Amino acid sequence: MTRLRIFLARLRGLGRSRRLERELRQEIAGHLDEAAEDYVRQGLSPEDARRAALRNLGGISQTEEAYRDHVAFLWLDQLRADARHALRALRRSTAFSIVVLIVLATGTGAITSVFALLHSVVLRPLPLEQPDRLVSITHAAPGLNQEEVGLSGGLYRYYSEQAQSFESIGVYTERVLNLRAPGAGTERVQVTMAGVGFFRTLRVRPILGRSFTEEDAGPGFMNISNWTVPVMLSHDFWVTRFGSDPNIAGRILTLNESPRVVVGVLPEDFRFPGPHTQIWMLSEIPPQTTTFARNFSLSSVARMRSGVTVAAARGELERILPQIVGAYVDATPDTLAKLRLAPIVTPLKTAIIGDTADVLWTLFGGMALLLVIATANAASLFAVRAEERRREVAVRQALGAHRHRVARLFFTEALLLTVTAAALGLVLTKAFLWLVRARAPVELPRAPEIGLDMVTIVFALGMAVLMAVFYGALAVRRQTRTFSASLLSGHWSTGDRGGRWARDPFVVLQVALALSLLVGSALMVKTYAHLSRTPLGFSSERMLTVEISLPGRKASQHVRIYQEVVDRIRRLPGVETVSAASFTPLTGSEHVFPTHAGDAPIPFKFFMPGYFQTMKTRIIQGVGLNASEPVEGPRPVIVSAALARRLFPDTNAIGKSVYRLEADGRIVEMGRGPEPPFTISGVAENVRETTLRNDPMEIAYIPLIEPTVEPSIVPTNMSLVIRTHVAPLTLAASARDTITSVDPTLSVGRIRTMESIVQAARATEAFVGLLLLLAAAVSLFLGSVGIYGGVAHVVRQRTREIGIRLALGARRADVVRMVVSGSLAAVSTGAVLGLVAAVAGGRMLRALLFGVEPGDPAVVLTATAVLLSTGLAAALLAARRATGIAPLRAMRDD
Amino acid sequence: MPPDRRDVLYGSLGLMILKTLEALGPLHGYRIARRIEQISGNQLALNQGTLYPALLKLEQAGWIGSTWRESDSGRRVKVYALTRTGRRQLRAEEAAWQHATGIVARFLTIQEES
Repeated sequence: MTRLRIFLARLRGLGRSRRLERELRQEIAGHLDEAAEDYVRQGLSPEDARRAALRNLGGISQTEEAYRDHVAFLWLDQLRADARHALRALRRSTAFSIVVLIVLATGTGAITSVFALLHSVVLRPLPLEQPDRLVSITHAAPGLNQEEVGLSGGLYRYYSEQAQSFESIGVYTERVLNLRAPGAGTERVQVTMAGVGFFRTLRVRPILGRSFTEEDAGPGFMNISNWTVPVMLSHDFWVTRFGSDPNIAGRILTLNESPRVVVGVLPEDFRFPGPHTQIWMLSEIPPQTTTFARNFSLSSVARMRSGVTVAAARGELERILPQIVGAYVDATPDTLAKLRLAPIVTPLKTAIIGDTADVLWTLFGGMALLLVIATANAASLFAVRAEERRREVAVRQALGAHRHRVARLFFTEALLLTVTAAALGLVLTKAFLWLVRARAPVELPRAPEIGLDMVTIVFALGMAVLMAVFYGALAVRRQTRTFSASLLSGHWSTGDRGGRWARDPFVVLQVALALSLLVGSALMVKTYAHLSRTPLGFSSERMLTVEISLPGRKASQHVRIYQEVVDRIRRLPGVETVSAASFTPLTGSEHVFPTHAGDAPIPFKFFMPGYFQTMKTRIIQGVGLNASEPVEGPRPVIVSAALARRLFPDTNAIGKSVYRLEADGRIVEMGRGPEPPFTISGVAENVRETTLRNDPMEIAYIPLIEPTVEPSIVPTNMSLVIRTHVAPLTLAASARDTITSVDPTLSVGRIRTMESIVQAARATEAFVGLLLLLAAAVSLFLGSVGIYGGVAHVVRQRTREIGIRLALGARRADVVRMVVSGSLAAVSTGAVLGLVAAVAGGRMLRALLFGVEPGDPAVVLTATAVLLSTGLAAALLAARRATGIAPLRAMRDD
Repeated sequence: MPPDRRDVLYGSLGLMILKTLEALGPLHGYRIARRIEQISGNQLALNQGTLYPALLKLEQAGWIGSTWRESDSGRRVKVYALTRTGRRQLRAEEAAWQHATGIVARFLTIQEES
């Protein structure tokens, strides 16, 4: 109690120390006057009386000193004095301080930046209740030729009822639907179709209204005319689209022509399955139509019971899966054997962040090494400085400064620098995070959660303290080892070999890291260049793409409506050619037949006549179904060169038939009999439809012409491709107007240039390349500073020797060569190590590389050349500067 | 100056100050110093300067309070007075002190016997 009170009083004393000291001085003055008066009364002369009073008091300054110790905190006072002293010392050597600040700020900035990413994306738990119990369930499906598939309706129901490991399972799929609100036209919205267990599993409570209930999904749920299907809104969507309407619950929205009722609004930080979802709509498959062996398209999130491990949950699923036989009509031992499903249970966080964790950890490792480099670099600068200050310290010690006190002085000085550097580093981090949020590829998971938080700030400051302790210790070791007397007497010294050897490893390490990062970034630059040169199979020049979608009830008129849109847009001024397809290349869209042709699922794409002409995709064989050419035969189809080669390796593909097949190998039945085959009427050159790399590019193109495709697969989403004479985006407004003038129920989605789509496809590589390039530039800079510092240090230690050599007639060039060649040993050792590290690191990058091997000779040679020349330049600069001094001064100076 | 004046026993200065303030009421620094010297019959070499840090400590602990006032001789002086917690503390310390000195005294008697 009393201790606390004293502590608080001293805390108050911090602010009042000046006043307290003034009062004390007044008190002492009064005390002395009064005592002197007493002595005078006893018969002493005024002078003697005063002297006696002083003697009894025991000295004014002693009293003040003793008093001050109790006013606030002694150590704080001393720290303040030390800091003042350190600041003065640092200001005296501005160049040193600035270089150290730059070096350390770069180092801490780099690692703090990556730490902030790592913390926001990987380390921080998902913002959900007990997130470590949430998992995602998928299956490996070798029988479907797929690495990983979601749940089918049957699996979802079966697991929900049978699996004991889970409290509940929620399924979902993501869709884009058309939202029509009274008086506001039609817009496309991101919708997550969620099973009834979705929010219960995630344990999310709405901030307004209610969540989905079992009654919502009860009997009659899937009734077409049922307008009570409930939806929930994201917080953002509620705010921006509905002005935070507090009475939103109960409002009716029209989604894809069907009325839906809003039941609630979700909290602001709820972003599952992704930040883009605007509406969650209840979606359950009624038991009577549930099947087991079709459509493994449901994503899932399940909550494990407490105490259940991921491995145990997976074990249970493996155990109960075979017993699904009989639960559904198509759950036969036969289909089970054919599908060869193997359950996979993944912690939800892992499922969300995926490979990003590995990339970030690798980057973090690299940055940690970079910080080590920066620290080592600054250490060599500190060492140089400590060398210069030996005399000062020796004087201090000779005057009786305690070792502790000297150590604390060094520590304070280092702390001042490192904390300032950390603060600057945090500014860099802030800028970096801004860059990431503005520039990051869309795939970066948890992007909205990225930010600079308390943990990151503490991390940066922790780094600063660690570095300060390191430098403090280094300086103290250096100083206290020295025998003061020899220094004071101006003892002659040639180089301190111990010191030199201690620094060489730093230079080696720096060079090694700089080189490995250089190689890494060069590999990414080359990858990017390769991706830029990859033949796309189409031309992205002057092309506008417009996504449109058709309400489902007008599906039967799709050919007429799309044709009219295309025809009207063709008449707009500035348009060269125009056509449409069910998706544009590189947008991540893909349709796959729910069935097979040959032995693997075939992706396909619908197109309007004239599509290949507009895209400038070459037709290698046959016809391209351009607008002017007559259509030959029923159900024509165009296949990509790669697909033609696989299906008909030895013969001409033209005129051959392609069937749509069921999973069991039967031809799809439609209406009254087997679906008629498609006839291949043309072969198109390979187009990068999904990604820029490793794309098998096997695809079938189905024209939208009469007689039309079966209604169940009519595309209601199309993308117009418009080749223009003018800057593409200038046509955006008139294209939009034209579309709505054809049919006001058509909704217009994203309007983008083809060029921007292609660039987005390279965004990940560009981003990683940019990161590595930044890191390489930083490490090259730090490495150069290190080499410079190292050489400068050697030169300083050998100043006297150099002076003698110069005085004896050595030429400056010889001396420079001597000094530089000494440092080249360290640089080349570092280069060798760096190449080894680069090859090892290149393997980690392999997933990102394209068209270039980790050990690419051109890359390795270029990077090595850049590094060696930079290193040499730094060494030369340091050597020339150092040998510029006059011989006489060199010999006098120490 | 008497030849065998003793230094103030460690830790006892605070107690002396508290007791003085209890006995004489509010006093300023010099008066407290003189009083302690007088009570000790000038046996104590009180380094008067040490009084002020001691006063600060007692004040920080909340056992005494201080105000600036006009003294009898017309000087502005800082007058210290015992607080209620200070009075309680004084009781406790008195008891502790007597207990401690009692034990020491008993040891001394034993030694005389043997």
